Formats: sequence, structure tokens, C-alpha cells
Amino acid sequence: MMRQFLTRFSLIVLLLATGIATVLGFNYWRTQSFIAQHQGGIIVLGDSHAATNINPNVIGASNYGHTAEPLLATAQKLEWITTNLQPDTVLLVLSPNNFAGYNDHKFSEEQWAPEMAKRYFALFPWEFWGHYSDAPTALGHHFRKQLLPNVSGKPAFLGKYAPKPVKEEKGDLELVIARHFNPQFETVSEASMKALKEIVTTCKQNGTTLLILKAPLLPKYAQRVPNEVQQTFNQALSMTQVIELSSSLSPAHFFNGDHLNKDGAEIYSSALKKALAQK
Amino acid sequence: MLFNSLSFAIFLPIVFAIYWGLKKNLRGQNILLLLSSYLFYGWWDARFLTLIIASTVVDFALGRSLASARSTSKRKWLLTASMLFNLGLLGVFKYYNFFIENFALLAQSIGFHTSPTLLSIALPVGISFYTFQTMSYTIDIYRKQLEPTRDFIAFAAFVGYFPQLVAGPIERASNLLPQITKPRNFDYQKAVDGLRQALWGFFKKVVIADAVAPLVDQTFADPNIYSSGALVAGAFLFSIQIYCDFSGYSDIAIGISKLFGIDLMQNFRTPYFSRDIAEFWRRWHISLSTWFRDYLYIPLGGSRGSTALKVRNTFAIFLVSGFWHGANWTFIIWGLINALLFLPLLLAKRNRSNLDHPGLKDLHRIALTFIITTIAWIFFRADSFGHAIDYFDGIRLNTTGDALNIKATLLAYIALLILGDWLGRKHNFALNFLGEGVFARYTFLRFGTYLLLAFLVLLYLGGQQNFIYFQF
Repeated sequence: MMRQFLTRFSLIVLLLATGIATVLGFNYWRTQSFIAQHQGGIIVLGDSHAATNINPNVIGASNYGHTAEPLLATAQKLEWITTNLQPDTVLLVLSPNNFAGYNDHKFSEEQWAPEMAKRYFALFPWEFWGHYSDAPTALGHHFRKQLLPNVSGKPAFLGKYAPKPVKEEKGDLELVIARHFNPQFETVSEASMKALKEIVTTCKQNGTTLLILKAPLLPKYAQRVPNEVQQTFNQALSMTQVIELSSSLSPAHFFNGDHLNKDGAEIYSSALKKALAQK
Repeated sequence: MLFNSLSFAIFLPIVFAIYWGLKKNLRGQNILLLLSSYLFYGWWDARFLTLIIASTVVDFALGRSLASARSTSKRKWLLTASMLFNLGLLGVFKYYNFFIENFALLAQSIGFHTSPTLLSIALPVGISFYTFQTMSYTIDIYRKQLEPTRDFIAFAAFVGYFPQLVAGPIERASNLLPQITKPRNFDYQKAVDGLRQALWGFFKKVVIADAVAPLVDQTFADPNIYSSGALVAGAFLFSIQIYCDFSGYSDIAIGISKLFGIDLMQNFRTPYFSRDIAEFWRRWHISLSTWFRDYLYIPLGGSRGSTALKVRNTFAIFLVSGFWHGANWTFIIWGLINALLFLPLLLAKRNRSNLDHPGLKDLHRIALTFIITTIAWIFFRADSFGHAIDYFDGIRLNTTGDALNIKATLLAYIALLILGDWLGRKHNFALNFLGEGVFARYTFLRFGTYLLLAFLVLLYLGGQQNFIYFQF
């Protein structure tokens, strides 16, 4: 009786494991195909400012920006990108909030930690996750993300262009400020500054041109950036070539205080295309 | 330890292997059940184990004394001691702050100003469940319906039995204790049934309840910003969440218990296919409803006697049932609403109709009962009476507002839930239908269903939301 039970139970577990192994194998094969098809060119990186502001089709690039991505993750992602995709140019979109202390907590706080683990688990060593959160739980989040067939082959840590709709309501500035510059965390993220230095070094070592694109902000948002964060941001901008294109935009082109809407992204991307041609 | 956690996935096979390795040693099996139950419970907070142990020792001793006591007054005294102890635990840990706060408010309303001392202690997980279980033991001995056990280990394993310790079913000693004191043999069919039931429970909890929870939390957190359509959807989703969460836990508990050769009582019987509120209460949280029926409603006179008595008894059982869920007026109001809905059926002597299984011809009555139940659940879910009223105002008045982003996959899973429950409505649990008809004939259909559900559980596992009923 017990033997029959264990045999049948093991058979189901084996079938399940075989199915999962097949999906994982398929995903690996698709990722290799993706890598082979996406060599060289311009790659846009950054957080939601990259994902929403730049239409990659306008500038002939690939946009791998990801919402809420901390620079710590961007630095690791860039290592993978330079090794596997070998781009000529990396456009890194930065905004002051990339240097706010909140970024250091995204790997451990309830809202973002599962998402960070799903996307970036494979890019960091095991100890990293142990330091920020419960490493086995992080592995679980990542593993489950791999269970569905990934037909495009694009790894989960590579984001995409995700334009924001044109709407009259500009969102609640207070909520955005409270989230970006949350006073319960440290004001400035030391780790983000260190990650930016790593990004600069990685690009230099691989012969990749790094351009920093300063994300356009509405004055009402820019005025609320804490001084310490702004100073760190200014310091970051001095580390490599910077492109600033805010002058071509009006408030109607903004989705909220620090993101463009779809129309704004089109105008901004066209202006960026011209600026890149002049470089 | 949560059923939907990695620690439990390691814990269960180890206990299962040792347990059946000890199959010729009943005492060894019971000691293992006891120790593993204490480990399971102590995983949350080992300090609260002292309460379970105290409850076990006190009721074991009182049970023995009750059996040997000859005078009625002594027996009454011993029963009162048991009630005072168990209800005292609940009073201190669950209801103390509620009574003190409300007493202070009452005093303030008549001109006395008090500064009440509130306790800042966490509610021990499952306290309402195991105290009711031990109370039923002493009451049954008092009524001479049960012989007290002489085996302390078996009694302690009965009180602390880990599959149902923290969220039920609330077992009766007359059902569970004899199973613990008798030798158990591994039963293949029972174990298969157990795995099926646990799988369906995991599906309900992990794939549906945990996915629905954030949407419900959003709408209840700020009803003012959502459109009335979103709020209605949020209320219906809460009905689904609480069913999947609680019945999911019960299915996992009953299923796991079957792996150890022990049958627990059925706790849910597809309650949302009920055709009226009376039927709903025969199908929802059966172990609690029958507990109150046997130990409160019937001793009060039940549905016999004058109309006034019937009304009193109905309100008593529903208000106490509401209050059992938590120290908040919202639960009492929820109980009151259910009493008001039940009473007309009782007075019209229609509370015992619909004893057969629901069919497609009953769909309109099923839908109506589901809507009524959902309205009552709004009070259950709300933080306060005012919050519930805000929610109803939002449904009535919010012509504009944010919509609720419900993914198509979630709707597909809910459809799968309804289909599974409908096919299994004549059985003790949904997936029981896999043992008959085409599913019994074609192994690939049966295994395909297992694999699909197991895959979905694996895919969504990890949110690790606590079970709602842990707080009760």
C-alpha cells in the first residue's frame, strides 16, 4: 500500500519536474537566440525614466529600462549586457531620485523585494540576497518567474519601452515625493553612487561609450528634491558625458512631475536622435 | 509554520516518514504527533505554547475529576472551572481591550472620565479554536456523552494536533480522540484522497485567495477613490477571498490529516451554492456552527418553545458567533445581519428546506444568496462600522473613480474554482470527483488535473500571505 502510494506520488513529482525542466531548457535556448539576434548598437538603461521617456524605435536603439530599477541592479545588468550583447553605446537615463536612500531598501522592503528577486536574482551572488532579504525566498521568486515559457528569450531583468498615457490628471506630487525621498530612510544612497562608478568602469573596460541622459523634470518636482540628493546627483553628472534636452518640452508633455507622457516621449526621443547624430 | 511555506514542505515529509516508520508503536506515533504539533505551533511564537500546555493540563485534570465526581454540585463546579479557565484565556488575550475600551467610552458618555489600561499583547494564533475544542471535551464528559481518557499524551495530541490546531476544523473529542487512541494503519485510498483535498486547498489559497487579497485591500483601504463598479467587484472578491482562504486551510488540514490516517470533520460544503441563508450556515464553517448549535443553541431551547424564545436563541447564536471572530463591533453587526436574514426562514419553518444538492435550476436563488452574503461580508471585512458605511456610500455614490485592475488569468482561475466546486458539490471535497467517471477510467485525465493544479500552486507560491482565520 505504502509502496504503491509512494510510487505514484513520485511519478507525479517526476512528471512535474520533467515539465519544469523542459520549460527551463526552452527558456535557455530562447535566451541564447535572443543574445545572438541583439548584438551591438545602442542600449538605453535606467529606471522608469528610461522605460517611459525614450521610444527606442525613434533613435534606433533597444530600451531595456525597468521601472523602479536601482542603480545597483543596473550595474550588474550592464555587466551581463557588455559580456553578451556587446553594445557600442549605452545611454543611461538618470534622475535625482536614483540617488535617494529609498533605493537601498528595494531589495528588502515588502513592496519591491519580490519583484527585485524575480528580475535580478541571477545577476547577484547568493550572499547578496542573504544580506538584503531571505535568500531562499528570493530564489523562490526567481524560480517561479522561470516556470512560464519565455518565447521572446529576453531575460526578465531587461525591461522595455512602456509609454505613459496622455491624461489631464498629473498625479499626486506629494505621494511621489514621499515615495522617492522617503524621510524614514537615509537621504542619500551611497550604494547607488558606488554602482554608478562601477557602470563607468565597466563601459571603459569594454570600450563602450557611456552617455548619461538627464531625465526632464517639471519645476514643481525639481524644487522638492532634497539638497543632499541634488548635490550627489550633480556629482554623478560630472562623471561622464551628459545630454540634457529639457528645453524641447512643455508641461503638457508630462505624465507627472518626473515622467513624460507618450507625446512627450516622441518629442524627447526625436530631440535625442538629433543630439546623438551631433555626437 | 504556514502550510504554504518551505519550512512546512520540509517538516511534513519528515514527520510522515517517521510516523509510518513507527506504525506498530501507537504511543511512539502519538508522542511524535505531539512533539511535531508543538514544533509546528512554536514556529510562530514558542511562548504561546505555554497556553496550549496549560489548557491541556487543566482540561485533562478536570475531565478526570468530572468523571469521578459523584455529586451534581461538584460536577457543576468542575465544569464551571473549565469554562472559566478557557473563556478566561480568551477574555484576557482576545477580548480584554475591547471590553475595557467600550467600558471607558460608556463611562465617558455618562460623564465619567477614565484612563483605561490596555494590554499590548499579541493574540495567540488559533486560541479561539483550541479553547473551543477543549471546552467541548469537558462539556461532553459533564453530559456523560464521553468517557475521559487516561492517556495524557493522546489527550495532548488531540488538543495540539497540528493539521487543525490554528484554524480548525474545531474537532470534537468524540470524533478525534478515539482515532488517536486506536492503532492506525496506512490506508492507500485515504492518503490519495488526502493529497487531492490538500491540493485543492492549496489551489484555493495560493492561486486565488493570495492573488485576490491585494485587490480587496486596495478597495477597502480607500473606498473614496474607487468607482462604484470597482467597489462592488472588491466586495465580491472579498467573498471569494475569505472562502478560498478559510476553506483552503480546512481542505489542507483535512487532507494532511488523512495522510496520518486520521479523519477530521468536514468544515465546508460548497457554501456559495446555497439557496438561502439557512442552507449557507449548514455549509459554512460547519465545525463552528455545529459547536454553537450543540453547546449553546440547543441548551437554550433551540427552535422549540415560543416565538420570543426562538428569536432570542437565534440572536444569541449569531451574535456570539460574530463575536467569536473578533473583538470588534463589525463582527457583531455581521452576526446581527445574519440573524436577521435567518430569522424569517426559521419562523416560516423553512430553515430546513434545501437539504438536497443544488442544481442548475437553482441558479437564481444561489446568485441571490451569494449577493446577500457578500453584503454582510462588507461589515466583516471593514475596520469599523463607519468604514463599512463609507464603503456602501462609495458603491452608491461614486459614479467616477479608479477602476480595479483584475487580470484575465485571475478570472480564469475563479472560473476553474467554480467548475471544480460545482463538479464536486455532491462529495466531501471538490477533487473527490476525480475518483469516478471518466477521471477514474483515464489516468492521464486524472494526472493531468493534478499536474495542472500543482503547477499553478508552484507558480504562485511565495506570496506567503497569512491565513485570515489565524487572527481569530
